[in-house]
Amino acid sequence: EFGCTDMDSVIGVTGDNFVIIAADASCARSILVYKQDEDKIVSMDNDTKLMGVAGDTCDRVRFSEYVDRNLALHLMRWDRPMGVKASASFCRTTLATALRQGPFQVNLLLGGLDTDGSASLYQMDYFGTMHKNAFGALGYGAHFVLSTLDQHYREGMSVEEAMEVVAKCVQVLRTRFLINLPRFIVKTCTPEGVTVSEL
Amino acid sequence: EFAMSRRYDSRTTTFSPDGRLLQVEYALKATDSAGSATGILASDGVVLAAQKQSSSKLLATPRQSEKIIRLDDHLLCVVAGLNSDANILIQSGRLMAQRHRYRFQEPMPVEMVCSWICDYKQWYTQHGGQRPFGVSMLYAGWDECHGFQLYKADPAGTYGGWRATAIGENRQGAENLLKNEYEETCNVEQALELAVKVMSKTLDTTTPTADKMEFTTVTRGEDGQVRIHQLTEAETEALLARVEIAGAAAGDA
Repeated sequence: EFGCTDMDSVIGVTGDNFVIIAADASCARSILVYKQDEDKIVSMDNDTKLMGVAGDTCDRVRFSEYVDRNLALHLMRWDRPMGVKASASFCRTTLATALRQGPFQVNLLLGGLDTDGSASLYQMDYFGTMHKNAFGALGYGAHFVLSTLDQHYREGMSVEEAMEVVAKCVQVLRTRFLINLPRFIVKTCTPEGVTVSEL
Repeated sequence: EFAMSRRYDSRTTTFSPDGRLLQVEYALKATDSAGSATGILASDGVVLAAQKQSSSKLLATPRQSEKIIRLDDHLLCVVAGLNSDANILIQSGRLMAQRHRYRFQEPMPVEMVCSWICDYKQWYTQHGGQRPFGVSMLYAGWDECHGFQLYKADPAGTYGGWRATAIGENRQGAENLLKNEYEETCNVEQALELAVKVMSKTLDTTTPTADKMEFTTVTRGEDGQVRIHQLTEAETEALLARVEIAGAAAGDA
């Protein structure tokens, strides 16, 4: 029950110069839904990075706020946002250090744009395992969504094409996943900034 | 003029009546009598030069430079002052640089290393019972944020970015020479030749030799990797010969 990261469905997709992260907006425990409008994706570093987090609200919020504020501090001190790889590595070592002290029971997808405009996505679990990938998914939903992504994802897609792929993923979950997920918040990070939409 | 202010020397944490931290100033004086060194920023790299000190023929030749020291693969520091104090700062700087690499999977930016070590030095100017570090330092290196950089830091922990500067003995003379002769568009080779002139001035010699001064350059190879190169004795002699010829030719003209 506690430390459950399965119930949040998060999907991440990259293109040459954009990242899309979608997350279900349900906040629930056992048979009770607390709310259907929870935003599990945090936009960081002046809208240059997105982090979708899966896990109980307490750890999810604690971790995402910690990372967000540390990146903001770095930006304030050095007048320059941290690269995506460095930010992801920072998250990873935070998770790894906390693991045997007071773990953050969260899995996450961190994607963003570097100053040269290139996009990257990193997937992490609460042990501090990290991989860089073109796309990824978290939670029970991953069991369904990864095959959809394997089938439809192409390198060099446009934002619209990538959005269609994400929409297909959400459709699969609504068809085949037991848990009702009526609302997905979708955030797209491009060189122009972050736009928010819904599926 | 220091006679009256002796009463306020004993603790670093105490300001004198005229608003000075005397221990910090004394520390700076200590570094001003150390072996000289200079740093020069070129368009394609950084040049560092330092006095080679050998107080006795019996002293074993160190394998590595005693003044120009590598903190990480992409950055160096140059020290002037108490070597024992410098060692502590170097060790902690090296540790921070590796910790940063572990945490962020990328090299620690040059300014960040400088800033961190300066914060460490500052602690000793504000907390009771301990003296400041008697070291002035230059930091030189390359990073993705700002390219080639050169910083100077004093015992108080104040630092600034420089195009060309000097520490140690006769640094005023060196700084005057640099002010007159430094050109921002210079390349590493020209900066090396200027460094020879600076070191000749601080060592007060018209016949510089390779056993009295050493040179190190920071550049980037074609693959983008930072290259730190300490000039060999042969390369140093060749450099000194080039400067001598140029000087003689200029004299004739």
